[in-house]
Amino acid sequence: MHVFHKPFRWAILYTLILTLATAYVLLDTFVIPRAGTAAISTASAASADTDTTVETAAGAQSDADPDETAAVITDTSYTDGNIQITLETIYVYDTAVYIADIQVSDASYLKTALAQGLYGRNIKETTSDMAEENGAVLAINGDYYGFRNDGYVIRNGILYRDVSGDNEDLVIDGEGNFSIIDESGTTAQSLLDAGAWQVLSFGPALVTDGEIAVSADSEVSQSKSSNPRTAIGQIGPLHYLVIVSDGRTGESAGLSLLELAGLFYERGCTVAYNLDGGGSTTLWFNGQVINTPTDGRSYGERKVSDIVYFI
Amino acid sequence: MKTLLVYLAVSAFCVFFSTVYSHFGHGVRSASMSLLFLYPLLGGAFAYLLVWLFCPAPERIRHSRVHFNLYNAGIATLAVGSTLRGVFDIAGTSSPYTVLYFAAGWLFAGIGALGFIRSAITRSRAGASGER
Repeated sequence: MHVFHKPFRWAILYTLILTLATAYVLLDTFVIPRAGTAAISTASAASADTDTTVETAAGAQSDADPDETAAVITDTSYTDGNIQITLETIYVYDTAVYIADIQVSDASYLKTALAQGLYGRNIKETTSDMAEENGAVLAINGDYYGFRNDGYVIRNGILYRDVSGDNEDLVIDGEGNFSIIDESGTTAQSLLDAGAWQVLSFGPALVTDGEIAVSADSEVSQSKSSNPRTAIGQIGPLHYLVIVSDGRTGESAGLSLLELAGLFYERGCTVAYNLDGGGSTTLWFNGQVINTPTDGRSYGERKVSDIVYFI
Repeated sequence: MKTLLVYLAVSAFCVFFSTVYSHFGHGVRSASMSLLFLYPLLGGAFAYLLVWLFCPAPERIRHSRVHFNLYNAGIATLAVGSTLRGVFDIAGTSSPYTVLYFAAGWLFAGIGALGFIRSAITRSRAGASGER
């Protein structure tokens, strides 16, 4: 105990302990991959031949019939018997904005995927790698759920996380319809029971009930100024709009949430939702990255936890 | 007095660090990062100013070395915890471990402060008894 009466010995020892502890916390938060397991529970269509029963939503999607129609692909469009996508690039608010109008024949063409097919923290892949592995036609980054410890996670009918982050969530049901819920008012399990097929937790909601839901002051805590953005909205049944903006570059300032919401509103979306943006923002279409992904310091795709894609 | 000046310098560094870090935060602010300097300023410099004003005798500090070490460790832990929380806030993430920094920091600082006060009172009474 006498040794601790010496000020410098104590200071050196404690500084060492504090440094090591802090290094571990930083590595644990940003680097060390930690695979988790689904908060498993299944639905009406659950299979009974496995030890663990994976709970899926009541209105589980069925795989659509494969369509043999050959796809017609151009730089700005994709068309086959089940999916029609047109990609438009505009320049507004000093920012390059990419707008994809997507019509599908069945809700099963709208999917999500997890990096490396695994749920967990710091398990990451680039959007383009995940898109290629899953045969996507168009893909965007998701909510980067693996960067946080809270926020509901339901993907393709499987409940992975039922920890509320008091966020506004985007719920996509088995029919492909969008709705917005508040995590503080419900549980992920009850959403699953009610037929949620995908739940993305980032936000905020940009458009709800056909009205703009954000103001100039209501900004997401993760990004409060003009930034690269990724967002998705619904115009009508099986008709969607994906908007991705550049930002943090000399050519593009980025969009505020209000500006982004306005773009969805002008195009007739009834629901629109902001996904992870900033350095995560990536739009992948017809085999290539369309936007200019950057975190403001360097260019290139960031590895993220998940994607939303059309197949 | 030396400790007070060191804490003032650390406070200034914290202001510089949080300003630079926030500058690269793309508009995201964190109170934990912006107010980081308060731990060394109030918990460090201001506290030692009180000690210097009201307990100037250096031997009292010497006799309370363990308490001072604990107190300093507590303030350092709180400042590092606040920095981490600020970094995580700005990045848009969190860690379950940050709460441990605040728990340990307040515990160490509390034990150190109480221990010093108790020691100072005891010595003050002993001194008063010796004067009679």
